[in-house]
Amino acid sequence: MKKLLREFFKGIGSENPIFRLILGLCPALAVSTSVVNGLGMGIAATFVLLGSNIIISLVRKSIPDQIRIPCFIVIIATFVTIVELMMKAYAPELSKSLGIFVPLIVVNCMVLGRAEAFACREGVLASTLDALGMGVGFTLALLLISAIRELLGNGTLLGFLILKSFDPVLYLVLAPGALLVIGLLIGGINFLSSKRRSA
Amino acid sequence: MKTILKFAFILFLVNLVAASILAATYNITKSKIEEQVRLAQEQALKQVMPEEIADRLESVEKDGVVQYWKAFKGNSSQPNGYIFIAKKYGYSSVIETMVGMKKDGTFTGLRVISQNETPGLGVKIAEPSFTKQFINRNVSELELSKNNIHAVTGATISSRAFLDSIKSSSIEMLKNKDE
Repeated sequence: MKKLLREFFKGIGSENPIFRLILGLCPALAVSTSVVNGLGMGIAATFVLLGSNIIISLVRKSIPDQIRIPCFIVIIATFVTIVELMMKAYAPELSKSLGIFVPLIVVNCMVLGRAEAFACREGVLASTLDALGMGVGFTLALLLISAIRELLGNGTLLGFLILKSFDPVLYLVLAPGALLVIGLLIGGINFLSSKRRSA
Repeated sequence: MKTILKFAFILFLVNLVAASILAATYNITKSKIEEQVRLAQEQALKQVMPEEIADRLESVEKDGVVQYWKAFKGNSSQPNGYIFIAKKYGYSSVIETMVGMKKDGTFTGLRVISQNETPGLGVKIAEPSFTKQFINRNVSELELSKNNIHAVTGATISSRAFLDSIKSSSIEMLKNKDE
């Protein structure tokens, strides 16, 4: 039981995909311009991760090693297309603002990374918790990055005007701003954890 | 040889299952997606043409594709205005705008229906703070300047492309309306 809980929490903390494993940075950089986009992307990626981890863990014994990558890609792509169609049908605004980055979850290295490093070795329950933990960790990281960028770069949060008498730093909403925010956050987290380790 | 056939068969099975699941999802969501597209269009049409000016729309089609809409007020047989779609390449994408115009060339409403300009800069052309500047202006007086239409700061190319596309499509529309 304790081991299973650890599989869940490692994705949020010690093995956070963005801040620790530095995986899945492409969507994290591209769609973190607003909190709504960040949240939508996080939920979409979590769903794909969950689906692919469960299925891959179920079929892991019947898929020969040599052709596992194409099989994983097909499984992941299936879930991504389901998400894309569902989003178009039930959340058309979100699907419009995320655009190409929803289909691009197929090549998100975090999803294939978990399939390779975890789901093809471990049981269904552990893989499910691993996917949930990674998904939640990814979503929280995206929320943090997008909240900083939206608040300082546009003066809004979730579309509401918060900073009224403040000239927004447009730079943060543009691509270089994403790299800067993620770099500073990773640096800060590394600094804090190294301090804790030496103490 | 035997392993190749085995691998091919496994891949075939995986793909078969994936394809059937996707076909099912596609069929379930198809009508819903079409409805969303239709709803979005209806909403945009309503937004660019206020009811006081026209309350009845009639699409003008050519080869089964809607070219523009004629907008009528009450039972009048003469259109009071037009709605059409203006398209032009902006800074990083094609900007598509639905434009509502009275028959004298005065704009009643604009709505950007598709664009992929720079986040934080070019995308602001789609916000009402920019598009509302066009309302109640005549096509003949459109230009980007201090006391006319203010361009979005840092997005002059997107703003200019947006204005140009609306201007040229409006002139085209006024020229062709009787055909």
